[in-house]
Amino acid sequence: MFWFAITEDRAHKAPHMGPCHHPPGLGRQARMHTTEQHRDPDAAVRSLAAVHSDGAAAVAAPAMGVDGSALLHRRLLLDIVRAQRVGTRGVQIGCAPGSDASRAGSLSSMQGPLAAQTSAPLPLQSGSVDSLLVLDTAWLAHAPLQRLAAAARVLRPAGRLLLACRSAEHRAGIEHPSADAERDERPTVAAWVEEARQNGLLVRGMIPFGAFLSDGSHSRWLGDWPMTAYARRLLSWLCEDPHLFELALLIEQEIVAHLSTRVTDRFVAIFERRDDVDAADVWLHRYGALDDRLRRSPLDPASLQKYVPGSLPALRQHISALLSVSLRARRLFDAVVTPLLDRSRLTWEDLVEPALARYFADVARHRDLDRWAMVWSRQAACEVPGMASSVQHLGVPLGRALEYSLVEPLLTQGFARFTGVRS
Amino acid sequence: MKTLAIASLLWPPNQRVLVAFALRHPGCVILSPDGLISPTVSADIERAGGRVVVLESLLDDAARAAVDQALAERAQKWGANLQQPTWTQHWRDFPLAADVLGRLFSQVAQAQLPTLSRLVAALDQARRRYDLRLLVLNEDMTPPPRALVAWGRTHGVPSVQLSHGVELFQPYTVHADLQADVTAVFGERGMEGYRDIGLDISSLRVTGNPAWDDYAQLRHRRAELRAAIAAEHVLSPHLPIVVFGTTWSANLTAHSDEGIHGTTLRTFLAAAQKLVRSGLTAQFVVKDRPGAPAAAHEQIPRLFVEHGVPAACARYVAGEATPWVVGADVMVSMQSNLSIEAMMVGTPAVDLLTEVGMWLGPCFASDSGVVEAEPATLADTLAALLTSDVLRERQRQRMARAAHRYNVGVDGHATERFLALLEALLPHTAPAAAPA
Repeated sequence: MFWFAITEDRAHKAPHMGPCHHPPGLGRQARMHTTEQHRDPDAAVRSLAAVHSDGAAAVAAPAMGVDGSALLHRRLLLDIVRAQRVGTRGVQIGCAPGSDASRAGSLSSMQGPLAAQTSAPLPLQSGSVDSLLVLDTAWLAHAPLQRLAAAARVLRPAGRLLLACRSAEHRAGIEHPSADAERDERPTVAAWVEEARQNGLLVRGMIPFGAFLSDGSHSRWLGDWPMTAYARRLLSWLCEDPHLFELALLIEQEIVAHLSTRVTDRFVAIFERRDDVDAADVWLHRYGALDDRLRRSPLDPASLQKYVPGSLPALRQHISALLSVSLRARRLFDAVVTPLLDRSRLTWEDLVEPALARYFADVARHRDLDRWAMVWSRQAACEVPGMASSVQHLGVPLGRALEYSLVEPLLTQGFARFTGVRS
Repeated sequence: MKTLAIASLLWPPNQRVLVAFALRHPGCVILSPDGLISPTVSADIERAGGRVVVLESLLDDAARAAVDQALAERAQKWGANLQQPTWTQHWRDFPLAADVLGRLFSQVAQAQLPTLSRLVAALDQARRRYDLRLLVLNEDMTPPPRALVAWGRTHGVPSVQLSHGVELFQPYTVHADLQADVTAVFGERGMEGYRDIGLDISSLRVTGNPAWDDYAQLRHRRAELRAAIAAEHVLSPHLPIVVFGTTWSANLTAHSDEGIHGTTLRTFLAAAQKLVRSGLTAQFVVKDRPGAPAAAHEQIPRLFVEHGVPAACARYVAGEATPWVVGADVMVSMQSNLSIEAMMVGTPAVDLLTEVGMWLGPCFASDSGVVEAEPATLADTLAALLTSDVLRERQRQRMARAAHRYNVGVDGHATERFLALLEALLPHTAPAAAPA
């Protein structure tokens, strides 16, 4: 028998899906994993990763309690797991109390208290498990390398271990990590690789994910954007807006997943129990080259094409198709891409079709005009020498009172952004 | 001993606070610009024991002449400053020429400073005559409230802003600041934007919106209000009523769309057309803002006809939104507090997405109960809401859960909370005299 279940980090709630609505990304069979046993692990994974197939509902009945970011998180993990070869005997560790998996009772020996016992061996026989999934990063928050060793023991030869980890390289690049992030023990990639080698494991991959998800820390890529309320509002629609969800998935799976772990706070590390672990050096060398390139060289179209598996034109077309039909998708794309453009040699034309490139350029220009409008309105009567005293009356400075009235003339007469005629 | 006074720029929907204040402070004076407090509300204030004094009335001819004289001298001064190298030097990196900026500045200063100067002079007079303790505003962006706040800072008189709406957008340009000493917001949602842009929110207080207190009772009188608007506007109370609240462009951000009124109106009319053609029977009401052009009374019914919506099913109205918010089956608006008002009474609300709304938003989260619709999907969204009891009920439940975040005054007690805030801020002694 093969049980397969996903848990989430403690920051996210287990979703509850109402009877009439299937959030995009999990599919109608999504609830099956809590109660069914699958003899065919591929079927189990497929059922969990099924894409909502009936297209964009004009009105998606809001599902109760479904968190958009959590949904994306689950789907990303599901798809990563789906892509791995999993055997017929699998175990999942790190069920949060009350989660779907713990309710299913399939892993009664793997409940929450185990996570607190850093030194206790896993109650599994050595070499008894085909695949081990540890998708709750809380399990690795303390003594993660010891956990790796403990996990390695129970794997059969050629068994796979998937660990959802937090990135040391990403945290190192952040000025203000959250308190939790500071507390977490985070081995470097090199440390993971070496510990894996010591325990007969070969690194098969380290897949960054969750570029938009926030654990309260700044994002290296997006700065403090994920922490803002408006970002959370936008991402909340991931569970309602199939185009938005598809765009987020596309960015994650076609771009982010092919970069290094410095890009996101989370990644999935994939290990395989192998006798020949010298291949780790080859992997580490290749990974190091990727990471080094990302660190040193600003992205341009040629280098971006090296990172993404498919063709850039096809990606551009796919992205453009989504952006053409969804305002929210355009908002998200702008939020994610603008910081990238600031730090790279990419332009909008490299990422979207020409009409959309002009559109985003216009949006950027509007932002610039707003910035100039603020500079103008706040400084004209207050900061230019001599002006403040010329607009006061009876000792009361009136410069700031003029700000409101200074903005529209600037935008209309000065920058010709408006005609002044409203229709 | 001077009479206790407050200066108020509160808008009519919130002037109930002034009546309540007068009840607590018999004999108090409420100073307000001419025309802002109606004779009806003035009478209410008097019955409560207070008295309204028009600020402009405190300036006699000599005082007005003195203001004009001072203005003329200042105009010369800033006019001369605009010709100085300091002006040109300051704007050397600005994307517009200094002389263009100079012309814009002159234009605005000439238009605004006379009114503001008289306001300052009137406040000085008020301070001489009365024990002026507090300044109360409904916004702190436009010139008069800003001048009031500046006067208060100069003379040690605290200012309190009662937000006139929930700030749904990321605060932009003129909105991206908090000027009053204290700002009352309606709920947690009203703080988010300021927090997001890094403003110090320690001056914010959560009171709820006094102007919406009536919704706590009105939500139980839906049938009655619905029957009343149906009778007044010759609608059937037995058929769905879909209300569209119009919008307009303030042009205070480069993201604005000058044509948004027409664009969104046409989107609604197209959706109505599609619904009519599909066989769905409903009544469509365009609810315009107070102050909308008179020509709209003829133009919009004509537009309905052009879009194939029978005259019997189409109405154009302007004025108070409250009865429509309560009586409608669906309220459509664009990134508007109308959606929040609908939330207060459980009327299904649709937020019609717009470019400006998305670039400065999004305004609502998916669990708010407000359904967001792109222009292309508005008709289907309306059809779903009008035909699915399950969807409507689900939305109502979400709105009920979310309402407190948007307005703690969903309990009907915002007026009391705001009044308590005023009492807490009212200095117990008169402010010290301004330095000579």
